[in-house]
Amino acid sequence: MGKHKNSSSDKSSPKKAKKKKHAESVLSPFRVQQLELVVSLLPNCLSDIQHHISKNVNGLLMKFNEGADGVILSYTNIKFSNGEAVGRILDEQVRRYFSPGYLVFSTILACILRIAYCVLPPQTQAQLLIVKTFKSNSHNSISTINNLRRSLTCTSK
Amino acid sequence: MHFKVTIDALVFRASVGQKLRGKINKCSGSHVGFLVYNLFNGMISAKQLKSSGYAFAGGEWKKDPSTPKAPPLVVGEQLDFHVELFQECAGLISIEGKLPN
Repeated sequence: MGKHKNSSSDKSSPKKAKKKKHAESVLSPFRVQQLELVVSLLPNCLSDIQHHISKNVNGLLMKFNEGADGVILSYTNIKFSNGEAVGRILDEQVRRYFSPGYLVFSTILACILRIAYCVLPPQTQAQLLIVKTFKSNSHNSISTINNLRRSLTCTSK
Repeated sequence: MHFKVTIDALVFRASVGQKLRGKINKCSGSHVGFLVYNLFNGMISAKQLKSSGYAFAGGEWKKDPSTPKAPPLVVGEQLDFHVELFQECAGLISIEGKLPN
């Protein structure tokens, strides 16, 4: 690991050094790469920005990082991009939080529902539309279906 | 609050075809498992090993007597291999390799 990092401080001739560096980059799976990151800090972390930025970056270590296309093993030279030393609120839209009242449909077992529309095929399955919105099937024996058919006919009358 | 920062990171990325060395930590009939740089998990499948002339016997992979001699693959031994697949899942990486011809 360290060998690759020190390769730039080789004291051999520039041509040789270049050749060696190229060979190493082909052979070594390690590389030093500059990465740009956006670190998000909570307001309670702003008292010690440097420390909390380091803490955030430490969380990236030893994991595969898509931006780096590899596993970040260590890092040095942490600094603000473009000399910027101030944090920014990137999403500057105002957010309003409100709690609307919801009407929720949720059936429970053995709940009696009103059937709005019913298709009764001749076989063992009846398709029902509950409260004109929710589809339901009744898989039952022919006698039960017939009972349902009879009761529905009575209701419609 | 968002801060844009740059770091100089040391990144490990094995590319396909690259030659690496691992230390064997598992020898089974289905694969040979090893650690690369004592850190990253890697394996060579039984299929690859058989195609390289190895056979599994007595808890280790040995080269067939008919083919040129090579040390048996046993736990604790070093192993040179070529990277065939570099895969990642949930931040953890795994390397699949094959033996050099």
